[in-house]
Amino acid sequence: MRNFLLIAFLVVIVGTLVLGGIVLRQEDSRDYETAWRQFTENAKGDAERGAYTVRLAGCATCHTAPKGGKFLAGGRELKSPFGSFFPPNITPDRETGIGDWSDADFALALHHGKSPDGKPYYPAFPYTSYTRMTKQDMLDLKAYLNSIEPVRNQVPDHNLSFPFSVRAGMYVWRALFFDTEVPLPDPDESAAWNRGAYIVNGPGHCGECHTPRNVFGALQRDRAFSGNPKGPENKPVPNITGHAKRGIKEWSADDVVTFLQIGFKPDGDFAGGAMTDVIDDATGKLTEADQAAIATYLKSLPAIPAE
Amino acid sequence: MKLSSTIVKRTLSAIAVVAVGVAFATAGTSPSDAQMNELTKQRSGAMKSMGGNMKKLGAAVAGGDNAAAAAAAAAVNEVASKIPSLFPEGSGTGETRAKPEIWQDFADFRSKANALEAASAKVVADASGGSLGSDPKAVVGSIGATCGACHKAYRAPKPE
Repeated sequence: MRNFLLIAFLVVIVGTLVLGGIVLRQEDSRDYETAWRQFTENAKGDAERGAYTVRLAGCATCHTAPKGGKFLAGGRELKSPFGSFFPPNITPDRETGIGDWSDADFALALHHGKSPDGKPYYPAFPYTSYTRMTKQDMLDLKAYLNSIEPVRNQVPDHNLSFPFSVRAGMYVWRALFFDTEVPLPDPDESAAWNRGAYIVNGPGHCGECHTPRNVFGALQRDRAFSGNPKGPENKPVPNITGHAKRGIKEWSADDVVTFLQIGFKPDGDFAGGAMTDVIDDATGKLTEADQAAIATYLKSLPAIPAE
Repeated sequence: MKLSSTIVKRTLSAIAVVAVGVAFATAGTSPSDAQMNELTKQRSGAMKSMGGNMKKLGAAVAGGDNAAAAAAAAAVNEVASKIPSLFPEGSGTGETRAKPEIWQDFADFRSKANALEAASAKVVADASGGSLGSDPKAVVGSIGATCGACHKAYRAPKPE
């Protein structure tokens, strides 16, 4: 019964707001494209730097299939409470990958959550975090993706339950939950803290798993990093705030760095689960300075109990 | 080399745990819930003791103490060699994070345990031979990769 009411409620919202959403979308994309054009007039992507950015942004964890999947050629099925998502092929194959995309297309996807033909992405693709990536990091990443081996691999469409299967509903979702505001660096904090805040909240998109989501699948930012009882594969994801019992209060910054490098926890345990992929693909391959920056930022997070 | 009494004790307790496991594995009748609970409790203790020794190993390498590093890795190796017998069929219920996949492909589970055994044996040999190196993360990580591989496949996340 509760589910039925929820669905009915969603249908009403989607139905009444879709038109307004479509109008909004025309406007915001145009503004964005102008800003991007201005930036790219004077900037150029660097594939070598982008080879690092691809780790910083943890792309491979979702976009490469486990057990022998070709690098970034489409990932594993991501099960969620809304159905299954299939991460696309982001190699430069022209037909099944993103070989046809311009830099502006790419930026629109990552910063703005829209496909080149203007369709809104589901927030399983963490553009809600990538929107905080610098334009330069994004250009570098695109230059790198252009340079890798194109792989022909057609990824299946998402398989979602109604009403989430109605992509137009995402216009409404965006109007309600997509926050494009990028926080400025905090001058009262160290350079390491600011770098850590950027990585964790931007490219690293840590909160996409470690922050709980509301019933619409939007991040509950007031409870940021307090853990998610239903993360990817519907499995619990731990609290990484300074909470004593659930979080990392007892961890030193060095402990955090060691964990990001090899998955070793201060109690002698080794990480399992999805985090092992994140360590292999991303955190374990960052510079020690960036690992330390992440640790500095995480250690500054106030304790938030899990719900 | 003098073995400390704690290592002897630890080894004895590991053997005791194994004895319980072997008893279940060889007994024709299915064990009672109480026995199973006892096994999972002791198994969990054995895993924690390995974690404790991994910490000791890191500290020993950082301090350049080869003897202590060898002892810690030997203690890990001891438990590692018993892992397959600590997971008899049917011990995946109750207070345990062991996933049912363990018994769907026990050969793979066993090979992952063997990998831990081999990695820890190598550290014992390197430490004894003085070729261990001085980077604690490299040494701990060389064993830890095998821990993580098995946890990833066969251990459920901690309930929140």
